[in-house]
Amino acid sequence: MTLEEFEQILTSVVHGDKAGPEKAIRLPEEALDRHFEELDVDSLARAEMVTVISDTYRIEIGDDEAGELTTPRSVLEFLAAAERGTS
Amino acid sequence: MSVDAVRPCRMVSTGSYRPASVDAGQVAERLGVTREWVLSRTGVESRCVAGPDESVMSMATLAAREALAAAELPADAVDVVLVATSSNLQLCPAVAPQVAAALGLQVAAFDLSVACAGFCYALHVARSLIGAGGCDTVLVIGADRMLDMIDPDDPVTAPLFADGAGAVVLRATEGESGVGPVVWGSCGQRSAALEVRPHPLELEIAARVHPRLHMDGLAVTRWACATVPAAVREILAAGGIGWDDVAAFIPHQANWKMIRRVVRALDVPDSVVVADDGRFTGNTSAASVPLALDRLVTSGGIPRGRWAVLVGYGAGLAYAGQAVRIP
Repeated sequence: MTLEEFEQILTSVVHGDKAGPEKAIRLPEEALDRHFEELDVDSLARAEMVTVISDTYRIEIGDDEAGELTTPRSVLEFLAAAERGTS
Repeated sequence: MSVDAVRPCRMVSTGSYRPASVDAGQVAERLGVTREWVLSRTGVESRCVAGPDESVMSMATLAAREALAAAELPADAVDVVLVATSSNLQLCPAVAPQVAAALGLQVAAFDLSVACAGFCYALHVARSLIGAGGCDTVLVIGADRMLDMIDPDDPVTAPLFADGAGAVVLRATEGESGVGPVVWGSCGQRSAALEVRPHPLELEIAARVHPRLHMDGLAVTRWACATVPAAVREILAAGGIGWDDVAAFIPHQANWKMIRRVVRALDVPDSVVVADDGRFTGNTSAASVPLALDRLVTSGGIPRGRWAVLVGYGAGLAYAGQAVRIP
């Protein structure tokens, strides 16, 4: 998953599929280690995010693993490890 | 349905009380989002919002009166009054004795606090009381004023929760059982995923902090999506029935998006009506299952005598469900 793909997923789960370009979520380097709550991605949106990622990339994500996906970087690193087969 | 070891009972009627409906646009405006945003996350188009005079007790009483009227029963036919509720801010006394008194009764009456699973727990307690032979007729009510505990600025809870009451009458029967075995359980190690904070004993009176319901949507959603489908399969197996025998699936109306996920996971056939009362009423916690059942019964959309599968789940975390013959 690229950063751009992740931004699209976050935009969709936070603002809906019909979100206009003005709603697009961008993740500059300084945002990657911020907690999702600080980025206005609340716990219901995180639930949807985990489901979308799991369905899109066909990855089983356990409850404990899902609970640890609290920052954008943690998600990107989790996906990268899963793609390498080391998650 | 498999042979019951207990004296059989059946559900004979339903009743409901819904306070005024408020469109999702109102909560959207308060949260600074669009109505479409609320609908895409929750599916809740409108919610029932109680006024100052619509207490848990008064709503429960009005739902109970409607259920008794539908059963064409006088109040004095009732042996026990059960109220499932977790939002009565006056912790003592219980609500049920006050409901009984409002109905002109002095019978056994008590509350059960299992949040959104409460009604299905109470239904099983009623079935057990009748089964043990101690009584013939039990009034089972689910009633909650959730908005007293909801932060109106919390986007996780504010668009979902609502107020209301639903009731059913359960009676002993000489015929076949109309209330199946319960499937229930809890996961208390995850209680913090849906809880009122701060704890009242942590409050300084001068601080005037209002305890509010906090929901970890991620933890609750994942628990529910794993637990509820498995529980429903057990409910069907415990009753010896399959989806071909079921006319309606009535899950707790937590969130329409979550219900659709559960329905997909269970591969519920199109012939089964899936209750969607929550889209118009909101999440009324213990009242949601009986309200959803009542809407289907009174709309005539489901045939009497066929099976409906009920399942409640929520704070605790806890769940319970059973099959019932539609009254």
